[in-house]
Amino acid sequence: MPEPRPHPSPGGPPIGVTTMIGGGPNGGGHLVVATDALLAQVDALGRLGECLRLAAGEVVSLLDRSDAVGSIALEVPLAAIDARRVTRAALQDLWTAQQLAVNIRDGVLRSIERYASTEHLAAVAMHGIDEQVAWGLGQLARTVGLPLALVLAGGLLADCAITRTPPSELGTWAQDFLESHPRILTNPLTVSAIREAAADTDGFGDGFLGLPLGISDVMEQAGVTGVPSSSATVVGIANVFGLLKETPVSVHKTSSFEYGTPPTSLADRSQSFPDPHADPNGEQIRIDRYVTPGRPDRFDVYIAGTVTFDPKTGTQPFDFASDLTGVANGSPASYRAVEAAMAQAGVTSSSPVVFNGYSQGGLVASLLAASGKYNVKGVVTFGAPSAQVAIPASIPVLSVRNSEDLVPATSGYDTNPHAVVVQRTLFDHSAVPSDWTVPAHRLGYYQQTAADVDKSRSTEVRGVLEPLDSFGAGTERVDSTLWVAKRVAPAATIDATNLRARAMV
Amino acid sequence: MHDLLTGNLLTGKALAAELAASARELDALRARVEQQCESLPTVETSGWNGPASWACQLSLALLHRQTQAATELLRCAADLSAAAAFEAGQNA
Repeated sequence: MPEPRPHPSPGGPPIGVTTMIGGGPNGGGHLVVATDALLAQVDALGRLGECLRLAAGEVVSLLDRSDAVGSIALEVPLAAIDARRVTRAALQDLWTAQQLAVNIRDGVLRSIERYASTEHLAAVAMHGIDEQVAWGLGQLARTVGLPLALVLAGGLLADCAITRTPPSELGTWAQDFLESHPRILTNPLTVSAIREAAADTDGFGDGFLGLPLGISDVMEQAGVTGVPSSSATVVGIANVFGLLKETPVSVHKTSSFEYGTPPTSLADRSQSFPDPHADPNGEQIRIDRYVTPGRPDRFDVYIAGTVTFDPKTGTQPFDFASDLTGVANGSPASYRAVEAAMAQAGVTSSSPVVFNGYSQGGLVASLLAASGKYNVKGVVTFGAPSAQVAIPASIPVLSVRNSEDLVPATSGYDTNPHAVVVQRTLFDHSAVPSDWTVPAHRLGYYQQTAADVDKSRSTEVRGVLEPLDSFGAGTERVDSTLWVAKRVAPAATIDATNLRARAMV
Repeated sequence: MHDLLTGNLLTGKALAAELAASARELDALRARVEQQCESLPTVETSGWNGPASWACQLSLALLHRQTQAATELLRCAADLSAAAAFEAGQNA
């Protein structure tokens, strides 16, 4: 599949990336929203204020010294008296400028916080309204048997839209329609709507089951329901119809090579993913080992995205079933494949490791970090539906999302209060490309976004990026290995009936 | 500073040296403030819009002017100190 050409430079002012820290309506965490340019402005004002304060302090001591000198000098030139007078005036201006810098900085920060809380309140309100709508739809579906149709239509649409291999005339029609109206899918509003829909699936379920409106709130807050449970429900229903089956998985190394140097930027990381579509063997996993004498080996693990959205399980573990099982916080085949590859590559529970994932790979990276089995030094995801995977606060998380990309939105709102989420709008000032139905999800665009993030001066972004950029520092040799994973048994052999039969034996 | 500590009167030569040091310090301060001021954005690029943004832009312009005035005064004070140092040196 050809990578997209870089989109034309926007005609308007550079908007920069947007940094968020924390969760949405149900995240419960502190939320900060600001464009990078605004945060950089705050940083610059803070530095200027401090510089002016120090300068004023030095001028005060210089004046004290000058006064002392003047009092004991035999003869003071007139120019020296003028200099002292002008220095006093400069001191006054320095104090005024310092106060002004502090006031402006505080004002900008207050505006950012107010913007954040407004966004937060709007999101909470929207969530409440959507939940009522979802509950009503659930009651309707209870009557007309809509859930199965929704599951099948969802799988069909995803398959049509993303792989461009429509399984039916309906798929072709849907794809043609969406391609001729690119702003429908490639739109931040659509992304918000999908995020809400993902978060409100439980409201739908409650309505369908005839439970009272609002019960999902209680259950969600208690951790009983939420996006993961909704996803598990969808998998459970689909399993009944022979779809989205999980299987065992095998993994083997296809090649090893010395790559050269570890990544020193986010752009480097974004360009290190294997491409199962383009690579002849279809490798989905790459593991880089950093060898330094006298130190334990460090590892960067790169995990590719979904290869097929076919709801019928085949041999490909990076499929729709793994997507949904992963969003359900389960143990999808792709996750188990990466675990197996890491074990074979020599990653132990004490090896320092950074997980990098694109799309489903980001979900798997988050699940691995959340497992507690590894010495994780960082998680980097691009366009990943991983918002609901709870990662320990001690692990730095950087999630990169294009604002028009609907894939991350399918996992609902972020649950990690410490995760740094960086967003960039792609098509504000240019036409939406028509060669792909969901162009904002393309890795090529994420590579462009990564290069933009590298230029970010925001304290939050630098705080998580700099340790990642120096993760491989001092490496003497980089051993890279590529791995291909396959499902080893047809889904039918381990379906629920067989599992029950085995259990009885 | 020996003279200051002992309370002896400063000679013209010592005064010239003291004034020259002040001139250098003032100039270094000016350069530092100017450099820091250059890192401030002069054009709104954040995408932030509305009355609060306009007020912020106005305040930033004011800050630029205020800082510029302070650095100009520091430059002037440094020049005067240098001139005074020269004069004190001549008289010594």
